[in-house]
Amino acid sequence: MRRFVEGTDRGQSTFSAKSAKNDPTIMSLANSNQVRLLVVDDVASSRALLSCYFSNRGFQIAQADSGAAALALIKQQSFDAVLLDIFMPGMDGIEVLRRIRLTHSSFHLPVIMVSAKTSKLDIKLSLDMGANDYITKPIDFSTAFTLVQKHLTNTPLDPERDQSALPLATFPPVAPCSNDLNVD
Amino acid sequence: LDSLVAEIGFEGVQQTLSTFIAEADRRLKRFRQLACDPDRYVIELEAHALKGSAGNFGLRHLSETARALEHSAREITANNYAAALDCLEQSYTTARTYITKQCIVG
Repeated sequence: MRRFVEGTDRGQSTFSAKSAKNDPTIMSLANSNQVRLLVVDDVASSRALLSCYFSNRGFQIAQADSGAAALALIKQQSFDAVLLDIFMPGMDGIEVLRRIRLTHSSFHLPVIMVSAKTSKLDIKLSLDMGANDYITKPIDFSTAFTLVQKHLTNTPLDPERDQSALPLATFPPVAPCSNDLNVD
Repeated sequence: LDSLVAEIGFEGVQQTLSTFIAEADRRLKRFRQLACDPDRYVIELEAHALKGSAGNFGLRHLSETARALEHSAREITANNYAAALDCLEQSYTTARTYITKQCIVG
């Protein structure tokens, strides 16, 4: 079992981008239909890009267009990781992160911030609030994949999860990406 | 856009660009409906969203123009706001034309 001490071993890191498309570990996880990724962004095209990219690689994707919608989904269902935008109307990503961390440790639910905010202050604040990592926009997909992979391999998947309870959804999938959990 | 096609495929790019254009059309119309003093936060938020989404598609000039508006939103004057929107619309028109010429979307 991986050692985990809340607040001191959050798997935070800087990273070097490299392609991880063919990594056997992550592809095995993804193809088992057990890896469930929640994409949170108020901008539909950003959600669509991330959803399309990860869906094409076998992930099951749920989407939320606001912080409140994301928290509702997390309360209802189990996810393996969250990609979370920061600057959103209403509840921003930092507040969403704060609330997630009241109930889910960074070990059990990795949260990777994805933001066009690029200042060191924003990055530090996110990491201090419990984000596992931080990706800046424009999105570097291979970096996003590498980080999701990294944090998934640090996090046990829930074997008790009832797959029949999965279908949810808030937005229609992007057409060529067939693995979205979203339903009409 | 070529690198994006490599990542999510041609159809994926078409779909997501269509979403982007629909959003950007709405966003630019909304900018014209906003006024500086009561709406500075919304202007900043909308400009930030356009900066990020345009950047994701490699539309660098549009992204930079949106970034400039985002960063000036808290103190920009009404006249400068109007001028900034003109720049933004010009940049968006160029980007949209480029996308269309690439036959990515209609």
